[in-house]
Order: sequence, then structure tokens, then C-alpha cells
Amino acid sequence: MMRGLHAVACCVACAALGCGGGQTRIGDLFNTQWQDDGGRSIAAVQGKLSGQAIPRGANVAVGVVDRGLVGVALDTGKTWTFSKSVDARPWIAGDVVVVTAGGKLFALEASSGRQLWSLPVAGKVRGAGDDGRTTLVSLEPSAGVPGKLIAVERDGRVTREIEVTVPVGSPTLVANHAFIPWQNQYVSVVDLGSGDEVARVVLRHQTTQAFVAGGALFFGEAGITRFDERIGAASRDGASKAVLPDRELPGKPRWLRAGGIAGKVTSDAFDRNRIYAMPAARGDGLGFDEGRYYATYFRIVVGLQEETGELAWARRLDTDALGGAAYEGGLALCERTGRVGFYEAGTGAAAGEVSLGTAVRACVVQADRLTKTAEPRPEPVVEQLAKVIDVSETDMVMMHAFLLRELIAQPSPRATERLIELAFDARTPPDLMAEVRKGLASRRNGAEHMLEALGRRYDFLAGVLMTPPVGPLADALAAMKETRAAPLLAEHLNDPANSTEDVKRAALALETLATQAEREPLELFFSLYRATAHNEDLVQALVAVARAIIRVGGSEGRELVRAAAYDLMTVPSLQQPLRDLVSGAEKPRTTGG
Amino acid sequence: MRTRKLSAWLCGALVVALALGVVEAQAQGTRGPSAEQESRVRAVIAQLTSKERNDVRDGYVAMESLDTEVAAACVQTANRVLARGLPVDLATTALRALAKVGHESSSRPIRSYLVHRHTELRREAVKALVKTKGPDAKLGLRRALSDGDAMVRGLAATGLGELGATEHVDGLFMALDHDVAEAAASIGQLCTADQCEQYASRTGRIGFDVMVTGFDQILFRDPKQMTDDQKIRIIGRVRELGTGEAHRFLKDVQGRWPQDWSERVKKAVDLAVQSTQGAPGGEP
Repeated sequence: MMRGLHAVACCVACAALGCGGGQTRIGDLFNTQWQDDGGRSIAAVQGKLSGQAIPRGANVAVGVVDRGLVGVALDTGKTWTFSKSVDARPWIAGDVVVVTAGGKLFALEASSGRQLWSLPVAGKVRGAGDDGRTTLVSLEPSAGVPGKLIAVERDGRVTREIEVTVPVGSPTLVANHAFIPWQNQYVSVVDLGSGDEVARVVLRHQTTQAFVAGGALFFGEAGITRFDERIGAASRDGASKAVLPDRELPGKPRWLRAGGIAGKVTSDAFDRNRIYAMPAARGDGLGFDEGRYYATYFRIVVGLQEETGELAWARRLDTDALGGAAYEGGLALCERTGRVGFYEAGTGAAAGEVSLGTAVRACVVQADRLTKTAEPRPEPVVEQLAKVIDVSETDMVMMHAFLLRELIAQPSPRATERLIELAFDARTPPDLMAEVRKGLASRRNGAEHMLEALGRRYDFLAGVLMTPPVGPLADALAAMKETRAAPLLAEHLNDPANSTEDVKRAALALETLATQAEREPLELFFSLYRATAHNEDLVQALVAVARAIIRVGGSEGRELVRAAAYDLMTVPSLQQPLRDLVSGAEKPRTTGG
Repeated sequence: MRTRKLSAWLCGALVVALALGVVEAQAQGTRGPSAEQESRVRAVIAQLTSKERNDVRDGYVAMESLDTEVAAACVQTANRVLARGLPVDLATTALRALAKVGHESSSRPIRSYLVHRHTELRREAVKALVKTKGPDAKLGLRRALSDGDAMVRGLAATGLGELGATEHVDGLFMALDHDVAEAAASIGQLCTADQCEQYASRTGRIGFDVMVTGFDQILFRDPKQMTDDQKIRIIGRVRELGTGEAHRFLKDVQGRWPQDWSERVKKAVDLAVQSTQGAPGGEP
């Protein structure tokens, strides 16, 4: 042990003195006097490491529970436990899980939970990386002890310890080279063999994380940059970069958490409302696996198109998503109950699940080499949306409003049907109801569903206490020239349970749709309200109905309107429009029907 | 030109109205209208067809004060004026006047006001239909049981009972099950033996204060409509409740039971009063 400490001290001293062991050395680590070298040093390191394969990490979910950790291998479903009360969220780095508990840092084999080593430390884990041989752990400052980076071999030997005096992000490790993001814009590369900072790159977007995924190395937070042959151009914004579309999503979720902060043992809002994506090569550049990224909002997860942010699929979870990881071909999500579900990237089809066996307080997932086969026939997205939207969830209104807009955009008549169901649902919040009604008015399909809905009337004894969305349906059916709607709309004119706005829109639709068969209800409406109309909606409705009466009622209809136009008992605001109508100053707007 | 047309139309209306009055009077074996009555009818019809709202109001009010058979001569015009549409205050006056005249031909134009947005007008229309009677009235009242306004529903339920609308007892049961308390008394007025049993079976599910209104109707139904056995079964149901309020009701029935009505039922009531004496919540 003493010998180990001597070695560490020697390395630290060596680093401080700047002995480079024959490597290029760009100066003191975290030295802010550094001048951008135009990408020379980072390009050199990239060239040196380009032949090195970056090992893919284990497929594992690790949950925090009161008594410690529970883990599950995503491929086999085999679970493990670690029975020490942890004081921060664990990190998965390659095939290792690191976590602090009771003043010690523990490394566990990710696949089995077997303890690899432990070390006494101060501070909590705020980042980690692993290159298959060595684990690099970033520890937060604690009680006067500065933050530090420590490199530990599989046998528990500490081979490098670096004090950190600047704000650093979450580092990673590739081929014994530590990639350390700091001050939101730099990534310094430290050769752990020599302790020298052998390269530094300045990035043009906020960067607090270095991580490996799919056998490649990335830096980022707001967008990502790949460590490849173009990394030398990073300071000139010429590196391989990928950013997610700027799409407004419920709760404004973010993809990468700000690095360099230890995770809490209990999940927070960020965990429940976040974005997942798997970087992937896209021609010469960088994109996202399957052209997808994913967003969670508590119990709902959606798949989105990489280029446009358009919705590709939506799924409901049993409980809140606390963590997850995108993998090649899909997404793994860990729920509060400990269920870990897999979803196919393209369609959201279920691709199996495993379980941690218990409810968890927080969950971290790595799925770097996972492959899953989805169920063969996924539901169409319109069906998914119809199922996922549940207006009884008062805490999910933002997400349901988002999904509702997506549903409205769906061309299928099923969307019309679901919108009608929502319109009849007394639990639909007012804001959503306004969206539903707007959406229905814009539909141009699903006429059968609309007619069926119009067939329903307020009926206290039958327990039908919601009126149909008469106005929006009238707008849509009139636009579709659906004459079968005429008798139903005519009935609704004379249903006092309908709002006057709905009545007005029904009347406007009847102006074009009414036939001789609707003459009686039209005339009834006209008679009942021409002397009692108490608002502008009703006045407009009466003018529309008068036009319809003239059109379908011939000379008798015109005479009825004329008599009302010159009757002083007709409400004053209606008299002149009716006089214009019968005098020909305002001709009927349509002649069809 | 329009004035001439209107005058011609008014004359025609008057002739028809008077003819109808005469025919109606003849059918009832009474003498035709006197010259004075004819003159009053003419005046009322002129008022009803006036363009001035005050005249129209006066016409309806005047119609109310006419003898029934004379008023009948004005009803067609009054109906037509109502059906053409009136401001709310005038429509209310018209509905009340037509209710007072109580001519069955008014039921149809009155019924159309059951769909008016103005709640007060719907209430007036329901009340009027109870007076004008006939199939249109019953149908209208049945539909009004589903109205959004509780008072309209209650008035309609009561009205169906008053009109003896036995064909709508099912609707009254639905109304009762939807808390239209007024339906209870109407069911009691109209139910067949089986329906009365169905009604009684709701005891305990529906508050006694509501149920009692129907029981009262059943027990005091004409013995030709409701047998002693049926009444005794109802008394048994009430007695089984064994509550103070059941006791009070039975005692009230005991006090009101006609002397020349069934002794058997009377005895059953007496026994029930006795057995519920001292029930919780009852008399000391």
C-alpha cells in the first residue's frame, strides 16, 4: 500500500514538474494561458489513437434502493445487488460500476455486481470512464479536499491521481488517455502513463461531458462533437458535430446533463423529462442511430425524427421513466418500478423487458452493445396516440397537449374518432378541449364518426350530459360537403343544450347543406329566436338560417323571412340583415345543397 | 299592397275563427256566439294580429277573460301568433293565456317552446301543456323529462301524472332514478299493480320523503283502479321500515282514510300504525 502511495505521489510530482517522458507536452494542466494551437495537438492524439478500438461497455441497468444498489444485465435479465447504502448515484463506465458509500469508492463488475476493488475517498463520484483496463473516476471536492481524478487498475492499484482546481466536467478514458472537459469549452487529454497533458482542444459549443458510445468518443452537452480525423478543426467549428432539432417539447427536456456534478440518489425532474439519443455515423458526418431521438415526460415516451423533430411514435409506460439509454436500434428505459423496457427505434414497438426486481429511487442505464428484436407488427402511430392520450392524467396536461397536436396532424379517420371521444370526455381540461375542437373543425375525413357523434343529443335521463362538439363538426362536415349531416345539424339548432356558438356554426353549415327536408326545423328555429335572439351568435345564426330558408323554401320561405324582416317584434339587429336578404341587397351565398 | 294583403288575411282568420267557435258551440249543444261575443272575438283577434306589442299583449290578456267557448274562437289565431315567434315577455304572456284557455290545439305550438334556450319559457311551456292536454302535450312532457333544467323536469313529471299519461310510466321511473323527485307522486297516480310493486321495491334506495309521495297516491287511488291487496302490500312495505317517519305517514293515512272505503285496508293501516308506534325518530 505504501509503495502504491509512493508511486502516486511520484506521478503527481512528475505531472507538476512537467516531466513528459518523451511525449508532446502542451503546458500545465488546466493552464488558462494556453493559446489555441489550431488543433495540432488534438489531431496528433487522434492520429495516435485512431488504431485503437474503443471497447463497448456492458449492457446493464443499475438502480438505487434504500439498502444499496440493484443491477440487471439487459441481455440476460440476471440481477445482482450491492448492499451498502450509497451516498451518490452510481456511474457505469465500460464494464465497471463505480459508486461511493460510507467514505469508500467501490468498483463493481457491471454484469454481476461482484466487487472489484474499493478505496477510501472523500467526495462523491461525479464522472467516470474506463478503457477496459483502467477506470478513471472523477470525485467532487469534499470538506476542504479538492476534487480529483484517480486512475485505478482492475486490481485496485491507483496509478494516477490528479488534483482538480478548475470546474471540470465528466471525463472518460480511451487507451489510457483521459479526456477531461473543463470550463465548459476545453477538453484536455492527459496521458495517464506520463501524467502530461498531451493535447487540448477548444470546442465551439458548451462541453461538460466526454463519453464513449458505440465504439466512438464524443464531447458535448449542448450538441456533441466526435473525436475523429476532423477534431483538429474543432476550434474553427469544423469538427464532426451533431445537434438535435430545435423542437419545443413538453417540459423542455435536455439530452446531456451538465457534467461534473455528482448525481443524487433520488431521481429528479431532469431524469423524468429528458432526451436520449445514440450518436451514429451519417455519411462523412455525424447523426443519430436510425434517425431517431427520444424524449420522456414522466410516463410517456416519444420517438422523434432526427432531422425535423417530427413525432414517429409514442408509448405509455407503467410508471415514470427514471433513466435510460439509447442503443443501436432502440431505446432502453428504466422505470420507477424497476421495470426496464426496450423499444424499437423506428416504430416504438416493444422489444422485451427485464426487471430490477424492486422499485428504485434512481436508475442509470448503459446499453452500448445491446441488440433487441421488436414485436413484428407495431401499432400505427395514430393508434399509439389514441391510446397514449389520457385526459384523466391531470399532471400530464403538457404532454397530452403536445400529443393532441400530433394526433390532429394524423391523416387517418381514427384520429377524427379519437378527437370526438375526447370532445365527449368531461375530464378533458378546458385548454385541451379548445385544441380538440379546433382540431375537429380542421378534419377532412372520418365523416362517419362525425355523423355518429352528431346523432347524440343531451339527454338527462339517458345520462348523456355532454353535447357533441356541434360547431367544429359542422365546420368540418360543411367543408366536406357532407349533406347527410343536414338533418342532424338542423336538430341541433333547436337543442338548447348546445352553446350559441355551436348553434351559429351549425346554422352556417346548414346554409349550404340544408335541403327541403330540413325546412321545418329551420323555420322553427327562425320563429323561436327572431324575436328573442339575445346575442350576436344567435343573430348570425338567424341570418344564416334565413338564407337557408329562402334557398330551400322558395317563395314561401322568402315570404316568411320578409314578414319577419318588417315585423317590429323581430330583434332590431336582425331586421336590416333580413331586409337586405329579401330585397336582394344581399343575395343568398349559395344555390346548391 | 302589403297592408291590403294583411287585411285580407285578417278577415279570413276572423271568419275561420268565428266559424270554429260556432261549430264548437253547436257541437256542445249550446247557442252560437252572441253579437257582443262576436264583437269581442273580433277585437281580440285584431289585437293579436297587431304589429304593436302592447296590443298583442292586451289581446292575449283579453282572451283569458273570455268564456271558454268564445275564447276558443281566438285560439287558432293566438296559436299562430305564438308559433310565428314573440319576444320573451310576450311569449310568456301568450303561454299563460293559452294555458288558461286550455285548448288542445294549442299543445303543438306550445310544445315547440320546450326547445327554447330561454329556461323560463320552457318552464311556462311545460305548465301550459298540462292545461292544454292531448297527445302532443304528453309527448312534449315526456321529452321534457330529459331537459337540462331541474324545474322543467319536475314540472314535466308532475304534469304526466296529472294528464294520466300511463304510457309514460317507464319514463317516470327513469326520471325517479335520476333524482326527479316529482316523478314519485306521478308514478303513484299512474302505476299498474306490477309497476306499483316496482315502485315500492325502491324503498330504501330512494329517500322516504320522496317515496311517501307515491305511496300516498297509491293508497288513495280509487278502489276500482287499485285493489285492497295491492294497497295492503304497500302498507306492509312501509310498516317494515319501522321508522318514525313511516309511523307518521301511516298515522296520517289512518286519519284521512275515507269511512266508506275498505275496512280490510283500514285494519291493515291500524295494525301498521300500532306496530310502528315508538319507532326510532317517531312520537314518544
